Amino acid sequence: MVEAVKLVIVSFFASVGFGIVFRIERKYLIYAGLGGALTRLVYLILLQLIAESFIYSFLAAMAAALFAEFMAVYTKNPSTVFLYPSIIPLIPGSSLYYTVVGLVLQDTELVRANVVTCIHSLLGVGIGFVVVSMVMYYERHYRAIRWKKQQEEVQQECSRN
Amino acid sequence: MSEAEYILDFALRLSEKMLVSGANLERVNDTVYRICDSYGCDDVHFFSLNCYLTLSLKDAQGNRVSGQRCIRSGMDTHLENLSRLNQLSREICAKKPDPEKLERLLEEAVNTRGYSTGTRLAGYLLAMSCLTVLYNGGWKDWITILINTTLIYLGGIYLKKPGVNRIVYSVSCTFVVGTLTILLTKLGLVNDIYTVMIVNSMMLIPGIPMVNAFRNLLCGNEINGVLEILKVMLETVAIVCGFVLSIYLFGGLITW
Repeated sequence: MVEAVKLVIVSFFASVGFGIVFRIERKYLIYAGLGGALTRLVYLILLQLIAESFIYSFLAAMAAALFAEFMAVYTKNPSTVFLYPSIIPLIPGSSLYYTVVGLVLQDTELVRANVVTCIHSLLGVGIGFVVVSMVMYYERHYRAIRWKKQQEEVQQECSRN
Repeated sequence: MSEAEYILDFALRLSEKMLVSGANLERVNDTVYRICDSYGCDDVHFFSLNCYLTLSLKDAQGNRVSGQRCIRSGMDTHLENLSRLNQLSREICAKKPDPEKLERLLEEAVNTRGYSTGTRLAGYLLAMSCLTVLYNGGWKDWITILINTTLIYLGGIYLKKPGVNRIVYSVSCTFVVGTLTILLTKLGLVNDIYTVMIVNSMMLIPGIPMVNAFRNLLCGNEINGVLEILKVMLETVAIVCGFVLSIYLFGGLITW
């Protein structure tokens, strides 16, 4: 438990650090950190419940994307601004590194041990984002159509009166 | 210049700046279509890759124009600029300012002060310190990682100016950092050499473009997805090659 809390706090500061690296506006740095901490928390919980790397990466990515979409609506910014720092805990950097080290050194065991996890994680994260962004896109699209129709009805009403 | 040419020029420049700042292709496409629509442009065709843009449109008077733009500079994530460009596109769609003023508005939007070099270095140091904890590195590893991070960051600043190729930059940086790490290990200042190398490679591994490449593949932008995956793999191989080269040349020092 203490270890998990430590990891969540460290992820918060890691995302703040990457937020500065990605040049987020100062006032949003705290949200960047919250996104990283939330993603790590969800990831740690899922790790206890699910053994398949694709599934837990997918669900954790969905949590990160939902947070980013919520913050995007709240602050009127693109979701990317909050998504990039939030996904830092999900990037399979070490498995990609070991895969390529294995390829360069012709160590097939090392490649075999890491390449599947790396591809599963990347696919899981990619699909998680796409599912959330597609749902949000269509939600916004239909809301815009509804709003346009309402405006037309109001104009027609006004012209009749 | 005609009204159509102003809109075309603005849309292409805006797309380029958005892509370089870190926007995904779907957002850029959506922005271009909305702006063209707000000025009453008809028959708009926009094709985008991370390195190439092409746009063709017909304005309200029936003038057809088309243009292309090559994006030679790589992605330099600047999320504050991205927010401002997004805000600018919203304002343009709502207020439809005079097309002649669009270029000035674009320049004003990206003219931000942002973070200083020192602050960005502090950001990197904070992020790398946290990754050291996540990868169970000791305090000796942490100090080496901070030295390496500073070297990589400063190397990035000075090698970017003469326009050094990204792959050459990655190989050179990781070779220097790898050699320094081996020397510090020999002096007893590093606990686990591989923790140091992995954490420092996280600074260079293009994680965000890698995730975006998979996202592109799944969203129907297959050409861009494949190109980006190739680019990411080449950059990752370059990063590893620098470390492996330093281990081949100086790795024997550790066993002395």
